[in-house]
Amino acid sequence: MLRHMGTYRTTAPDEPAIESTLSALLFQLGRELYAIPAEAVREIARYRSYTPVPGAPHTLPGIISQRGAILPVIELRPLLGLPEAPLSRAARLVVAHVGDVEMALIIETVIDLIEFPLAELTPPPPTLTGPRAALLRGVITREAQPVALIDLEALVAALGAEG
Amino acid sequence: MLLIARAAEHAYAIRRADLLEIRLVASGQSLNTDQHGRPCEQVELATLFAYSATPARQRRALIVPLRRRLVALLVDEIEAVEVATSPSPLPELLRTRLNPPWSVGALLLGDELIVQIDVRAIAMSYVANRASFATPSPATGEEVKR
Repeated sequence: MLRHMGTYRTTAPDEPAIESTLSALLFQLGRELYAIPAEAVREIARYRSYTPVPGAPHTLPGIISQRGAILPVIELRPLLGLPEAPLSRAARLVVAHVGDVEMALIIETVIDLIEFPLAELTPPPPTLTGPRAALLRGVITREAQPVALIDLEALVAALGAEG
Repeated sequence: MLLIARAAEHAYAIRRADLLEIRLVASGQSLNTDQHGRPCEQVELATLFAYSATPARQRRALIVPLRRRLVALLVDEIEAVEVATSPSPLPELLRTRLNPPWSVGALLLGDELIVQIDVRAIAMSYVANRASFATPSPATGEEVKR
């Protein structure tokens, strides 16, 4: 079970302001790196086929049974404007929650659990527009590569609205 | 009682009470009318769900009664099951985004997670929008044996 690992330092009046960090699950979709807050992650499971649901939008195509609960499965690629791609053996189902809503995100490759200072989070570039920009909380740089931090609440709100 | 219908390698749970009857239909056979003269339209369930129907010599027809007509949903196989618990509602995140809202629940049968579908809603939707659905071409002339 992953827990939020934010850290705080108490400061004396003449010391610099409190620095806070965010723990996030780093993963890959195609050649791009993304992250979601670790506190939202309940479990990471090996990928298995979901049960398609007739009438479901293509971003929310089906369901799985996980520890007795029926969870909706989310396809991130169409939500992020990425083309379809086959899954490899590295694919995983990341069981995450937003408030009381639980879901299983299809992830191509889980890379690591990372921690970074919130101060390093920058807004998405202005050249990024449309639905995809609305799903990103910001961007950090890790080993010279940009990592887009997904806003899970915005993602849930966008489900089914893309048509 | 629940029935499990299989079409194009997918399984669906259906309430037996929603059906008038179940019939065995030869491939290409047309179910024209019932004994009361009500027209019977037929369509492959797989086609409605945007799958390719599995070619087979025989189809199982799930006869759904509507007010003025019957709709026969054709599937590959059908079996009756006893289940200890009723199907669960679909997760709200998904349920509120279904279009059309034909799926109404899910149940775990052994290791298989099966979606429950509302065949009456499907039949009514088909009749209202039949021009937009591809239908099989029935063979000509053969009367249905009652």
